[in-house]
Amino acid sequence: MNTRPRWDAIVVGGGHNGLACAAYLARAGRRVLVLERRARVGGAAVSEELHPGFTYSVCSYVVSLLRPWIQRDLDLARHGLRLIPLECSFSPYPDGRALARWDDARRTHDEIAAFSARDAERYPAYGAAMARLAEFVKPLIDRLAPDPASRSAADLADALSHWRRFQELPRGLRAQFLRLMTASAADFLDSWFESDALKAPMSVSGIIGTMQGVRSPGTAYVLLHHYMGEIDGHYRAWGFARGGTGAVSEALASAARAHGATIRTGASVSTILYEGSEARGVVLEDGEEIAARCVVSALDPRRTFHGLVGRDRLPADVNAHLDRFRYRGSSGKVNLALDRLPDFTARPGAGPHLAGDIAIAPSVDALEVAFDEAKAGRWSTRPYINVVIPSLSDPTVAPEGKHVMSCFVQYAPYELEGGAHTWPRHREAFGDAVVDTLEEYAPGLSDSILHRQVLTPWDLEQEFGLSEGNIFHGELSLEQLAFLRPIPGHARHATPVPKLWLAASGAHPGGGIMGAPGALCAQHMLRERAL
Amino acid sequence: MSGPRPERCEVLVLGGDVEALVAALVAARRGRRVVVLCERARPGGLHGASEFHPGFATRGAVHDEDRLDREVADELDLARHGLAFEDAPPMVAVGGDGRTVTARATADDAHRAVLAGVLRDAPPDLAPDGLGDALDLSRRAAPWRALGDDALHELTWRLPASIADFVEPRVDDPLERALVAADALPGTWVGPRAAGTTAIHMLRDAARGAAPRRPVGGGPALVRALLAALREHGARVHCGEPIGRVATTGRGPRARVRGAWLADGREYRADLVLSTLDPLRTLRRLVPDEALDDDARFDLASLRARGTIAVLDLAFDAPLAARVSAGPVAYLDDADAMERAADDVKHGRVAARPWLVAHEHACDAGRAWTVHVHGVPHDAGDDARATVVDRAFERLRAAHADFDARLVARRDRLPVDLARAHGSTGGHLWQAELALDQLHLLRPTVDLARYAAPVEGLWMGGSAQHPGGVALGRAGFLAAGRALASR
Repeated sequence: MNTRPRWDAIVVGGGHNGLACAAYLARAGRRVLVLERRARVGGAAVSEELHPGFTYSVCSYVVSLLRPWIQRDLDLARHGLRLIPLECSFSPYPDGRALARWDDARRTHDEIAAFSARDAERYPAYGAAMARLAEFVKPLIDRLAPDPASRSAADLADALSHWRRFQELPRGLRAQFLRLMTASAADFLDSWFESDALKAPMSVSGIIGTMQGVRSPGTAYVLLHHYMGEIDGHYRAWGFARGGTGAVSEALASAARAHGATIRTGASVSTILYEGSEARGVVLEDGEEIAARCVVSALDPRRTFHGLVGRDRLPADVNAHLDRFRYRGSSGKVNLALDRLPDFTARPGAGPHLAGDIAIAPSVDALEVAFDEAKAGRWSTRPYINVVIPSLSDPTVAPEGKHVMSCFVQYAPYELEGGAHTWPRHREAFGDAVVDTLEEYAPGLSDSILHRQVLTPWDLEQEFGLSEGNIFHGELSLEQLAFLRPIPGHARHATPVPKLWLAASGAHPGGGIMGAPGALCAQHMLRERAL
Repeated sequence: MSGPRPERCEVLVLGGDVEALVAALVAARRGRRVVVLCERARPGGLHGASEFHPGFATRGAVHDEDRLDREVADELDLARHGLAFEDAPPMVAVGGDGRTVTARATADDAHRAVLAGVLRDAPPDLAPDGLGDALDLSRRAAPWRALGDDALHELTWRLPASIADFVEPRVDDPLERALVAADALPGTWVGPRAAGTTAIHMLRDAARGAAPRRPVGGGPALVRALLAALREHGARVHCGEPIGRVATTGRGPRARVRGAWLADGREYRADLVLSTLDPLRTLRRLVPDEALDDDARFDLASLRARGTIAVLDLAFDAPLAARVSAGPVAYLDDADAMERAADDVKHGRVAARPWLVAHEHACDAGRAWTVHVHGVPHDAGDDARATVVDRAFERLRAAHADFDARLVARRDRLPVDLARAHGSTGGHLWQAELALDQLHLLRPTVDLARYAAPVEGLWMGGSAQHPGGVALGRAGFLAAGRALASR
């Protein structure tokens, strides 16, 4: 007997991409069930009150690149999403100096000029060039992955349109674009600027979430990401969500529910149900079977294919490609509840410089030393730290007068010398290294800590299901982008398993709180009449 | 001010290395009056012989003649001038424990054929204009598309991949992995974990072809054949002529080349000047400042040319007992050790454990070795010299018990020495670092990739140009072809 299943689609994993996908499918009238293993939705985009009165954005801590069209399509503002842009990038240095870059060109000029007059003059031209190139790149992340092997008329037309837009760029910018796609962040910045104090905090955007250094080729293009938000009307791409990053997930969940989707938490999926070779539902850990016309995985590629599906169901070449898809998590997270604001020696007192993001990136060489330690299987003793204090702009996340401080830390290599499983033994020492590093710039910080949460790559894997602790579901390196993400020939959300789709950061255009992989997957499924 | 009357020619070639001689020969064979100004006492550049001890002459400082473009050699009819080829033996690795491994092919024939095509052509124009350029692009794309989906996807995965990631699933033996990396890394400033190192290995493999051959007699034999051919075609090669500056008229975008002044004040006039000298030296030091505009200077600012290789020439009175191979021998540990060597260089230190590649040949008085010591910063000075030699010798002694007994002389050249002797910025053996952002249409910079300098009539043809550093002879050939076609 072949009864029509109750669900058109089951989305496995209630991270922000899974929710975005579900919302788009539900909005098109499909009956959608989202299954989330944890007690709350959001995956790594989650806010949790881990100390009374203090809400941490536990993992992902800033909203970068959340696509404006998704916010509009799903009316996320009506579902409670409020984005607060970051207006400053502040970097203190060991020699007692500091550099803050502001939303105000004049002020930024004067700050940079204290280090290099030439760099101060060039900085606006650099920003203009990057903004123009970001505009060029945006359509690439807002569409399905391009495919050079495709011969379909639509794909050829698409390729032609990208080519035309490339030709419309001024010659100098075409050159800059090619260098951005191939150079290291440090080398690229070297051709523009001379001051290490400026280059070091700028270069780090190229290494976030990858096991690469700022001098590793192929890290430059992420520099563009910082300029994508600007054209969407905000200073750079970065901002806080009011109530913490979890508010993005809550808004997406609310939109999905409003369109009729059902979301079940505490529902851990163990395997996929098949009809012949087609995915036709899932089995939960407790044995419950749920049928559907198709299945969408919002887990990372390893969890999807070698967890839910299993090697036996996949062709050998697909397994080989999946095996070489690299995760290599390289970062950790330290969340602090503070009794008072930190006081930086290089710029004492409270002030707007604390309200943006604070980069502990003393020099390009120091960043490379931190990377060298990671290559040898050790966490950096003096890591790169990206600090934000969201309580300064969002009073809902901490009691009055108190603060939460979120520290993104790199490098914390997943594979430690003694194996990844030894991370729990290193966890607190790693946390101490982070606090000690910060203490050098902001003495007294350790005395103000009321509560501390340390997340290592091992924890990110165990608790949030991020394989090897990679925050982007796989490194965003050149050979893992676009039509190669996650594996060649399957970059457009359809997987080697019929009726199984991939909707999260392991698919084009990749990680970050973008929502694009989920939304593009849903749109593509609807276009292909997959359900 | 009046000096001696300027000498006139049609094509003036600045530089005396293999690329210079190839470029000059291309022009001479087309009937142009050609003058080659070779700054050093003898032509051949880094491929020329030099006697470093009585009875011991090198076959050059660089041994990439197995990547000589054989089509270019045929086209220039070098066989008639005495150039013969022999099979080139594969590189052999010696591990720290004395174990040896011989290099095996890693490439697929289909990929090799596509990349051989990439090496053959000048890079495409970034700003294609009109139907001709469109047809050119589609001609270039055809072999890629003909690969089929899987092979095309695989190639696009490999090119930006690191050599460490490339070998990891293919090769089990750590020493053999290091041996593959030893082909990918020379000329780079990075270690085996860096993106794009697979592309360098694949391009070098394509340059060698499925059946690698090398000139009998090495670089010096190639140089002799080129000189003989140049003589036959009436080109003049002047050696020991240090160049003072490139003569230009006009400023910025209207600048035009007029010839070159020698350091001693004599002038050569030509409407077409082709330099195979280091582009940083040519454009920053030889071309007058006013001839370049800000755009050209900004473009040059991205060019990196930091050498990381010291060259040791060793003289032995007899072959060493434990002779590993007649071909190149690499003294390696594993890929991680190569990564650490690159890390040391990155921080300005001589590698604690450098890795070596040695070439041996017979001389009148015994055996001469050329040893490349990988892991020496481009600015390491005299205080680093003893360290470099000691660390290299330590490895060689471990592999050869009679090393000290047979050694009769040595010459050591750090990158700073090579920079001084060959006028190459940073002492880089191929004038511009090999890196994803300095390959093909980015080699050595976007604006120079089509061989035309930003001064009209001035062309660049050294190993900083595509496909220099991965293939030998083609850069000069392509540059001369483009230069002559421009008139």
